[in-house]
Amino acid sequence: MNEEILAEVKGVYKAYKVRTHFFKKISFYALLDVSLKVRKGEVVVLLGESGCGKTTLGKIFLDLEKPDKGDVFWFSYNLKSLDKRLYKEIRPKIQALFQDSFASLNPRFKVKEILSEPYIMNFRGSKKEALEKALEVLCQVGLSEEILERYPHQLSGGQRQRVALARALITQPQLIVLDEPTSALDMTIQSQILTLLKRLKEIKGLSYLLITHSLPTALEMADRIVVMYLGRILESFKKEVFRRIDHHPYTKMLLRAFPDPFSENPPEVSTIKGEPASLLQRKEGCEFYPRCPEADSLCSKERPTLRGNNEYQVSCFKRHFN
Amino acid sequence: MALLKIKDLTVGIKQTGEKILKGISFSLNPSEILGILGESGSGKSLTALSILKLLPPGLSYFKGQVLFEEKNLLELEEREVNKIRGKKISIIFQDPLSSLNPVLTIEEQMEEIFQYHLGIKGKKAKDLMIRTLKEVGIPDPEFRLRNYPHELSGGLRQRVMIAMAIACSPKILIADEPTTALDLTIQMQVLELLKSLNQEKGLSIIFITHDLGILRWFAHRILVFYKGQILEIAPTEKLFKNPLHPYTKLLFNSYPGREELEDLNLWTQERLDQSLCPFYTKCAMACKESLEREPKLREVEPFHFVRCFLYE
Ligand SMILES: Nc1ncnc2c1ncn2[C@@H]1O[C@H](COP(=O)(O)OP(=O)(O)OP(=O)(O)O)[C@@H](O)[C@H]1O
Ligand SMILES: Nc1ncnc2c1ncn2[C@@H]1O[C@H](COP(=O)(O)OP(=O)(O)OP(=O)(O)O)[C@@H](O)[C@H]1O
Ligand SMILES: [Mg+2]
Ligand SMILES: [Mg+2]
Repeated sequence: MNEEILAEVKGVYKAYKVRTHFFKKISFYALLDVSLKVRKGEVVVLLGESGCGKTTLGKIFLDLEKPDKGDVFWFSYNLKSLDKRLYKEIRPKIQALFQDSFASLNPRFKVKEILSEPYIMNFRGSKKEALEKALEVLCQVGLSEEILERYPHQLSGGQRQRVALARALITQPQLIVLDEPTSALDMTIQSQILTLLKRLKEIKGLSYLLITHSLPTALEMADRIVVMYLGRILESFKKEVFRRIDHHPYTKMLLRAFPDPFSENPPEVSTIKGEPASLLQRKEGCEFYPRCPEADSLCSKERPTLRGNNEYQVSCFKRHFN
Repeated sequence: MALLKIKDLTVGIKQTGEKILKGISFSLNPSEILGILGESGSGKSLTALSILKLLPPGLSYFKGQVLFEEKNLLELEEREVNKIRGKKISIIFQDPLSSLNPVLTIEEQMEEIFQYHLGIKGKKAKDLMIRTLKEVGIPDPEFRLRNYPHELSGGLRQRVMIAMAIACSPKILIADEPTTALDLTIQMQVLELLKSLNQEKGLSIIFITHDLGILRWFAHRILVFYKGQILEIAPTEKLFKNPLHPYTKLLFNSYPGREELEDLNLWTQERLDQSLCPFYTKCAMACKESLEREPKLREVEPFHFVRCFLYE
């Protein structure tokens, strides 16, 4: 694999403030010391509990949120010291596709305007050029010309999602952050979009940071899977070793609880133990300790760090490498 | 006896007369979990909204009945429907952000519901809020009560919606993709909670989702929707062992890792459509009869219904 790194976060922290009692505010960490790279042509999938900070991490990659501590790199430029002109040039190369494309498409614009605007803005092209480009990306996502004249509310969910993808593609990105891009769509459209994303990856060498709750989607798409928990990375592994490694206890819990529609075996829900974790009351020791079936007294006192090699890294005292 | 019976429900655009739901009929049995599966835009959410007379503006009922406790809900006064909505039949909407009020805290919104339907407020109401939020797996419920919807992650918001929907102990819960934004462990915990309400309190559930795994292990019976019609009805196990309709088969084969989709020709332009079978334009079989008459929903095996000429 080409080792060129497109985007990277290093030691990133992000805190949010929220009200508790009337005027009192407290802050909590949504991300804690997270480091992650996305290489050229690579699909990195983020899995993890709801509220564990996946969207926040995605936004930091996109520079839609600033970290409180730590660094973000685009094409090995540190955003902190990147000058404005260069920033503007690089910016369009990193795009996003969110779950709710309806909210992100301007309802008063026709599809042709939605698509050509970012092109004109970023490449200072003419209207005519932009329209040609619009047609080209529309074609790439499998939509036909007549869609150009429609407004977002006149499209089906799957069509809207493809328009949003076309808009992301028109600026010729190298990395797209996909935040649950298909979870609201039916199976046939989901698989169309996933097939499409895979094809674009092959043709254009695109990279994705894909956030999803769906295990089959993760396995279908990923080169690397990263499991998060309470704002930290618990485990990170290459897809090839998925079946071979001794996973983190949390990942094991996920795998057992997964409802497979085409298997004879029902999901093992009883293996899910304990209350969902709280960002507000962090205990000492391993973050997963209160719910972990394998935990012992060490786990309640000390916090493990991410250890391992390029293929497989895990943050657990009970996992060993030779 | 069915608990809820939908008969020939036909809903469409008022101005043009265009039909969106084309004669939907099904019933929900007591203590049943009924799954609804289907194409995006096929009318699943609209069916859910129609049951509670919550049609969006511009749409109207052309025909049909919704029978609940010997009354046709569609003929009831708004005042009477209000007493049923949220109390006896409650609904979890597909889009939790748009159905939560952005300027009220979670506590204020729950307070409103409790006061209206249960007539409780103050400490009693608050205790119930905290208990229900805990039940749906929300950590730090007391703290979350003071949050505004935009301060919650997608999954937390969705759990708040679920908590509100079950707080008044309804008889029927209509859940429109209630767990799509939830991660697996919480999703399974919420489903376990609903299952236990189903088993212990006889809560009947209409469950709309695209997630085949959930339907397989959670629903008793499944309806398959396509373009405003029901194409197939079957008990869950039967449907997964032996899907009959070409659309249902396509849906199952689209599951990640099952089959390369390129073969399935989803990208082809739809055929010119003068056919009376809703799936004709994409169907590999595309029967000639479709141009002459409409396929009827038929029981081809016990409890297994399908709308397709192949089985006539
Ligand atoms: N603008 C904000 N203000 C306050 N808190 C926030 C804000 N945005 C996110 N949070 C909090 O930060 C935490 C992480 O949120 P994030 O949206 O990253 O989670 P997520 O992993 O994407 O979850 P989900 O799977 O539910 O989408 C949550 O507890 C959330 O409530
Ligand atoms: N207010 C409206 N005016 C006109 N058409 C509408 C309106 N609301 C919905 N529709 C149309 O009705 C059809 C059914 O929509 P519905 O939301 O019920 O689909 P769905 O089966 O729930 O889809 P999804 O799986 O994507 O949620 C769609 O084609 C939609 O475009
Ligand atoms: Mg998120
Ligand atoms: Mg819907």
